[in-house]
Amino acid sequence: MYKLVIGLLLISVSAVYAQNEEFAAMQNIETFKKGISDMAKSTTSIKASFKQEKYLSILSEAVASSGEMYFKKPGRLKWAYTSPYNYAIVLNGEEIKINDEGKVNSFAINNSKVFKQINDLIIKSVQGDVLQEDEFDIVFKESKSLYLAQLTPINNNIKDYITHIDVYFEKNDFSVKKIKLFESEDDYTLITFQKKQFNVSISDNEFSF
Amino acid sequence: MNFLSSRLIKVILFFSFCTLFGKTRAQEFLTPNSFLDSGKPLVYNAVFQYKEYSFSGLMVLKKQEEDYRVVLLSKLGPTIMDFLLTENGLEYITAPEVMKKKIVANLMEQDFDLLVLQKLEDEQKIRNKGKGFKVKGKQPIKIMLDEEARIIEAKTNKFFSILKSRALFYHTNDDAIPDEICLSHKFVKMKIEMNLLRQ
Repeated sequence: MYKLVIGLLLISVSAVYAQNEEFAAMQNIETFKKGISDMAKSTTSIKASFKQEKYLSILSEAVASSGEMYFKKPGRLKWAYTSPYNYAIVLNGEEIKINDEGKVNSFAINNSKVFKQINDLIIKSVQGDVLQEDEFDIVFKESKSLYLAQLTPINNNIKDYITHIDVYFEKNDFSVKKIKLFESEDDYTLITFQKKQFNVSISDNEFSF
Repeated sequence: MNFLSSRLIKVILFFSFCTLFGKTRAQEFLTPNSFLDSGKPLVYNAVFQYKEYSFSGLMVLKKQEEDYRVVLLSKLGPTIMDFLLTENGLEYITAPEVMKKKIVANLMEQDFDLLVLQKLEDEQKIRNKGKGFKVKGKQPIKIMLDEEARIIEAKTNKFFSILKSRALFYHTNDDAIPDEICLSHKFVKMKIEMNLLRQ
């Protein structure tokens, strides 16, 4: 019995330690950039489940939702929330399509510069292809198991909505593990990816309603 | 003895009357409260409809001291709008420029005041009227209660106005928190439908 208690304690301590991983300045930024670039180039599709947590200073607990994410080159992305509601959004570079509990709406992305920038930002974040120093001021950090790119948008249109973005990459395969979109220090959205599958076959029908 | 008994009965009757009268007076002044009075934040799944267009997001409502905080979130996470409803009106914390235009801000204030029942803050302006209450002021409203004294309807009560709004509050549970809220307008094809996600 005491072994079980010690085991549980060890797991809890490890979990807390993993959540509070210490990040320091990245040692070899060029190796990281090359790894990310190679990963983005070799990835033709991604299928993953995701957990989204919205933290607001006025709420004691995060607002949680979850679902499936599909990405297929060139630039097609679908976020499908399945809990606690059915809501799907498709970005294809030209329009944004939303399926809200069966009601479908679409908007041309090119009509809005901000929409276009946010669309590009989301698609590039998912691929890991966000290290564009003409669009962001970037700080590179690393921990034992993760790389972290802290991006501050240069563009004022995006800055109105997002003050900075933290993108965490797995060290073993350079894939995106989680994204934190900050509106302020206390208000942010955390998206964590799980069950990632790369270069699997995804039907084009997945991106149409 | 008889004299004493009769005096005693009179005293008891007097005190009973005072207590009864006191209770009746207190009931007259029992005013309805906003469902947000506990200060606990509520999260609703909200659908906004204007003519054939619709948009959905999450709406967080919270009472902060005497003010009411409303935060509208996109389902992808980022905040679209964040504002306070105070006794002096609507104060934006974050909002797109278009929402800051006076006519839009006024309509927002009227609708969200009704939705969070902000007008009930000033008890002096509340008058009992039939099965419901009237709240006097620059933007008078009328509210109706169910048998359990929960607010089931609130509507603007200004005779000469084209912007008449009405909020319906539906309860599927026994508590005072509405599980569904529907806000609509009499002359404008615009409405908000909300379903409680979390309290």
